[in-house]
Amino acid sequence: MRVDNISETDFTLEIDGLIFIINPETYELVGEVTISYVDEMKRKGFMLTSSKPVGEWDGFSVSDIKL
Amino acid sequence: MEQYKLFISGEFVDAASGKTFESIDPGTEAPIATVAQAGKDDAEAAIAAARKAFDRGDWSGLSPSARAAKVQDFADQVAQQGLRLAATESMDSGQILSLAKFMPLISITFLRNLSLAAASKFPWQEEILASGNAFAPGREYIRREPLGVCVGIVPWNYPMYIAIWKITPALCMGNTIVLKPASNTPLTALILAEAAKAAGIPDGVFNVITGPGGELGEILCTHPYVDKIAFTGSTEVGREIMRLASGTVKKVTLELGGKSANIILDDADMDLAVEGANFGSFFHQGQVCSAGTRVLVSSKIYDQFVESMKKRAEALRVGYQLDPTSHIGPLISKEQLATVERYVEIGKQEGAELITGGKRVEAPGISGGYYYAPTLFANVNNKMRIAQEEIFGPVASIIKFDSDEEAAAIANDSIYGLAGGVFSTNTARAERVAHSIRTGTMWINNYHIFSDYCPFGGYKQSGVGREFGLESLREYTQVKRIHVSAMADAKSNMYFQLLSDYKKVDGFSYNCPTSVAAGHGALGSIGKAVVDLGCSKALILTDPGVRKAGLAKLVQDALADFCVGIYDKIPSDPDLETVDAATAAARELKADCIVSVGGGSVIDTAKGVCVTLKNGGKANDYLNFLVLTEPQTPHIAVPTTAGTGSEVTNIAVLTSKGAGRKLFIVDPRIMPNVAILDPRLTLSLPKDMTVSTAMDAMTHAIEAMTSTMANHICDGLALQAIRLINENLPLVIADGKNEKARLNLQIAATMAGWAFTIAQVGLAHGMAHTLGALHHVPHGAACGIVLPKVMRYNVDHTADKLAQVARALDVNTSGITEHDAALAAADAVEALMKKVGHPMRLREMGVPEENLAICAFHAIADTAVIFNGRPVSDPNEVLQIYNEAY
Repeated sequence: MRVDNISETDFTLEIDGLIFIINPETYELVGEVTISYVDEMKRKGFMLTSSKPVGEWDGFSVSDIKL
Repeated sequence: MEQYKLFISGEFVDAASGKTFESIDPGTEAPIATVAQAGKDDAEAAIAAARKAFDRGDWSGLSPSARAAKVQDFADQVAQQGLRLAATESMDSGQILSLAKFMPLISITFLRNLSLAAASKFPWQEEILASGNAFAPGREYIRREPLGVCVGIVPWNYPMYIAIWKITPALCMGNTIVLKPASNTPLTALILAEAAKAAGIPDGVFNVITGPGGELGEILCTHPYVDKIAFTGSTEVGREIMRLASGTVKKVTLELGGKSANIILDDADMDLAVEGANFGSFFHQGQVCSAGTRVLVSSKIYDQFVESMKKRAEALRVGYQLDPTSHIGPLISKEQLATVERYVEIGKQEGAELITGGKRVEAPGISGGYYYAPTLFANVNNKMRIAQEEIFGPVASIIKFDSDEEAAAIANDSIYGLAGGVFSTNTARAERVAHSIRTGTMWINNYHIFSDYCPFGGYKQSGVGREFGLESLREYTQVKRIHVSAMADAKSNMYFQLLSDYKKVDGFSYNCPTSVAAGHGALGSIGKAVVDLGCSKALILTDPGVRKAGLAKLVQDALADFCVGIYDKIPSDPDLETVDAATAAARELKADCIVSVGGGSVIDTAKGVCVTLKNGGKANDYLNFLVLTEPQTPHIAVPTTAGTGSEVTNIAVLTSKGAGRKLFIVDPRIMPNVAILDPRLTLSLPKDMTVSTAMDAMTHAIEAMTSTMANHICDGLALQAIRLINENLPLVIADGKNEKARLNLQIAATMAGWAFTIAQVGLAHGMAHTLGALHHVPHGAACGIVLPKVMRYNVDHTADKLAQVARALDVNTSGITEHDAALAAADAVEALMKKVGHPMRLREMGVPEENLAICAFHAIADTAVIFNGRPVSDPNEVLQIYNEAY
């Protein structure tokens, strides 16, 4: 995940004041995206999973938000 | 369609869940095989099998050469499967056939080369000849042992070759392995499993599980039976693996992402540079961790290079990977294709200039497939995302620079540091640039060259650890140090004594190899001594006073043609610079033997020269205890005093200006090879020096007797030395030409030297060293003045020994207590000093009274004090002694 600018064709969703954006090509590739937060001894961060995983490591790593 | 199963504990098995998945040919999008899909149960089973196999010992317990033989059998089976492996690798991963056909060959050579290195070059056990601890003698050695169960996680770009990178060092070093290939490309790992089984690799030693990393990754990285993880893949996944592995502190090697810079300098051969950049960027569709996807080009040749690179990229033929005319095959998956497309869009949005490519292509005669044109962006700014983020596709960014320094700065401005290149016709210049890039591999006038014995791995976030070569073999072992105490005795253990009231060291090791020639005319033996030492170029080291007295000339004449020169610039208190200057003179004259002619200062300087001449560098490099591991430059000592005993001792005392005190080289290997005691060389020694050097020897003998390291051999030497000094010093003072008495004093000094070099000295020497360093009081005089005071200070702890000293000093001890006899010894020493005119007080030597306190603090810190017969730790007690001596 990263902070980015909205372009005309992006899909957007506002939740609790935050605007989430995804471009159509990525959406077509990965499908619906679920963002959860993991806070365990072993890992801490955002976990992104999708209905169409892009690779075998989907759901393995946690992610920060890149600025 | 072919079906592949998991390989666990020597058997090919279905997944516990029965699940399978398809492996797809990326060139046609058609499935080519079904593969068992492992779940957590299968991962558990594979890990358990590997653990059992390791603990069983029939692999880990083999000798390295026996394992190498088995690995070579494995290599033979890989050769048998070569054609099948090449074709499968090409179809499964999209590698063009002209690349894939080499994979079996380089895998086989890797197996053979590394197994041979493990068996014949790897230091499985090493003796440590100098331990670096002078207080715990013994044998020290290290063993390197297997780690245990290793997990190898392999990516999809070189599935077979990178599997071999993991399997080979793991097995050669006695480990067992669970291999997880990428789910995109599982097939060749399972064919390798067939080869391993056919080669007779024991069950459980090599296991393969195929399945999604997202499901299997956690258990592989956290299972307590797993000792090491070796992962090749993205930095994002690598971070998580490192994090998970930390929970059980597993050893980890990570070979991660890169954004390597290929630097084209202005003097590069243009054709070569274009080919090199083309290969570095587009080989295997850019799906290579070490790809040179930032092409840095000098502004002086930029336009010409971009034009040539564009033409070259456009000449690449994109086609089905099994078509032998294809240069570029498909990307691995539609997801990877989408990633590449996304980055191309980003590049355009960021303002980079797309000069070729940037689109999907169709392979001739093929329907479907994930093909993308080689793509070049020009006028890229290194801060752009396309320059900072790994794309892992056929997309290269061309960045302009002006100077070599700017090129290095741009190259280093990346979180990655995996590889890179420099193209230049000036090798020295290219190497300077290469050395300045913070990255694990730099290729000069080449790219993507992997060699079995040459380590590969990343700086920064490109990874941890190294693959290939002996470096990789080390990564699969752990180090155990074994110490075998030289003396299995609690009362000889200086460490144990820290918690004990027993402070003496009972055991000892006597090692005094110096050959001694003593007597009138003994100097005549020097020529034979030089020959027996295998030398022919002897440099005399001496001081101006000895030279002026004509003594150096005596020795020079005795050496005849063996003498290459005389160096006489040694002061009475030599420091490290003295040693360095004398060493420079020796180097210039190509001396292979040092002959010291003089007192302790000259002999100690010569010891330092012998070490520095042999080992290089400066004297300051060797101020240490017991670190030399081989014979030093031969040294013949010809003392002109009868005092320090330096002609036979293992210590050189040198002043360090930096430390503000005297420091030491202590090592049996600095004992002179030969000592020549010819009394003719002491006949002209002035009375005051005769007296003070004799008192130095007396102090050596008495302190050796009362030291915590005292022993019967050294006691015998010391007592005889005391007798000889007591009897002969007054005779020499009465008649300086009494050669027999002079010889006896020399012998006494040598015997006292043998005594203290093993038994050590004590507080008197610590105090004398301090007076010498801070106030330039001659060492022998300082020793003599403080000795009787220190003897009285030590009396309650050393009465038995001091009573023996009293008898050696001709004190009648019958009818008096041991304590009183000990005190009488101190009195006898003072009486001898008065008789021969030795200075009795420090004030006579010009020591300021107000400085005694600081002297006390320095003396406490002197190493000699460690061995004093009475424990010393209160500077006030030492100050009191200084005051008594003042």
